Order: sequence, then C-alpha cells, then structure tokens
Amino acid sequence: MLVAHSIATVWRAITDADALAEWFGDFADVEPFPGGKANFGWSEYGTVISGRVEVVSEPHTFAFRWSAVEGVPFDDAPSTLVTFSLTDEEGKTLVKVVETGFSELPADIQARSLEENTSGLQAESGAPETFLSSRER
Amino acid sequence: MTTRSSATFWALSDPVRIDIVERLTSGSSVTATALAADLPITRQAVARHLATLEEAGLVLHRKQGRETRYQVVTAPMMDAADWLETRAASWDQALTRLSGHLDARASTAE
Repeated sequence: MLVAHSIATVWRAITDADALAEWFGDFADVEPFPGGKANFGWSEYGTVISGRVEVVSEPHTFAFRWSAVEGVPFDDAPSTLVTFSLTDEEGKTLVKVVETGFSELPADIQARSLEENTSGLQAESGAPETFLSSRER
Repeated sequence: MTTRSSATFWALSDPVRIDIVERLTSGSSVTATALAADLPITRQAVARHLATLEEAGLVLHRKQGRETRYQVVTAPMMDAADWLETRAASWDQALTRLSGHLDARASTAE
C-alpha cells in the first residue's frame, strides 16, 4: 500500500509502541531492538499475542516473530515471521507486509510438544515456505 | 489457525508432495507405481509421501482389484486457502488503518 507520508513518519508508526496501539492493536508492548518484546492485544477479541522483535533496520525493514497460538507465551509456541518493508516513493512510502512460516508450523499446533515441534522444524528446513503478503494496490 | 489448516500447510511444505497432489488432481497417475514412474524418486519414497498426505487428510486411497488407487480430497485445501485469504484481508485492513492513522495525525498537526 502506498501511503502519503514520509518514510520516517511511517517508520515511527510501525515501530513505536504508542503509535502501534493507535492503529494496530488496542495494546502494544514493543521494544524496537532485536530480541525486544513485540506483544499485542485486542480488547474486542480478548486476545493477546506475544512475540519477539527480529530485525530493526531503520527506515526500511522491521520484522518480528509472533506466536501462532493465542495466549501462549512466545517462548513456548510455534511462531510466524511478520516483516514490514518500507520503500520511499518520491516522498510517499510503499508499505508491504509479508507473513511467513505457516508451512513450518507443526501439523498439530495444539497437541504437539515443543520438543516435537523443534525436531519438525529441523526436518523441514529448506522446504519452501507458505507466505502471505499484503496484496499489491 | 485451525489444526486442520496447519496440517495442510505442513503436508504441502514439500515440493514432491505438491507435485504428487498436482498429478493426482490432473488424474494423470493414480497409483504409487505410476507416480514413481513420473517422478525421479523410488516407489517407496512415493508411498511415504502418500502416507503423509493421507495422514493430513489430503488424499484417500481405495483398493481396486490388486491396485491401490489414490485420489485428492480438496476440502482441506479449500479451507486452508480460505484461511490465508482471511489472514491476508486482515493485513490489508491493518494497512488501511495505518494510512488512516497517519492522515489523522497529519491533519491534527496542521
């Protein structure tokens, strides 16, 4: 999506916890450095999704992993990777979101133990990922 | 995500298994022996992939005389496609809210 704002403005909106709480979730606890928290909540659904910041490359790339299982602490859950990519387009900003890793989730995300999950991920490394992208506008 | 969709994504995470599903869908080869003849892998490897696909609910087998024939079950893949579509739509909505949020901030600042 092309938004009519500078890349610096958009960067702040996708990495600052207070800004994220205004447009992304009702609640956001985000520490914009690799390894920092990336937790989001939606009061309408009563859900909290916990995650971890992976890539902070101002002003182009911000990525975090988040739990694929609602309400399960990030460290104990299989996760997908969400990557925001920003590109300057003559003062406006092209924003893309790609979420990857669905095919790397264990076949039964509820029942499998973390141990099985880990071995499953190793067995499948190198397999093509199912990816999800915001559609081109 | 539903358990069934995650099983579908996992089962389709292997290029050989995608190839097998495509061949079964087109009806070109419906026995493990015929699939192995079309693919650069052994009949045993084909059988293992078919077992994985069957466990995920993506194929069914039936005995016909001395042959075991395989067919694709489309419903889980349709469900997975619906799930991805819904997830993609929610990201589209999030970006629309981002754009609206930035517009509102800019007009307040003026």
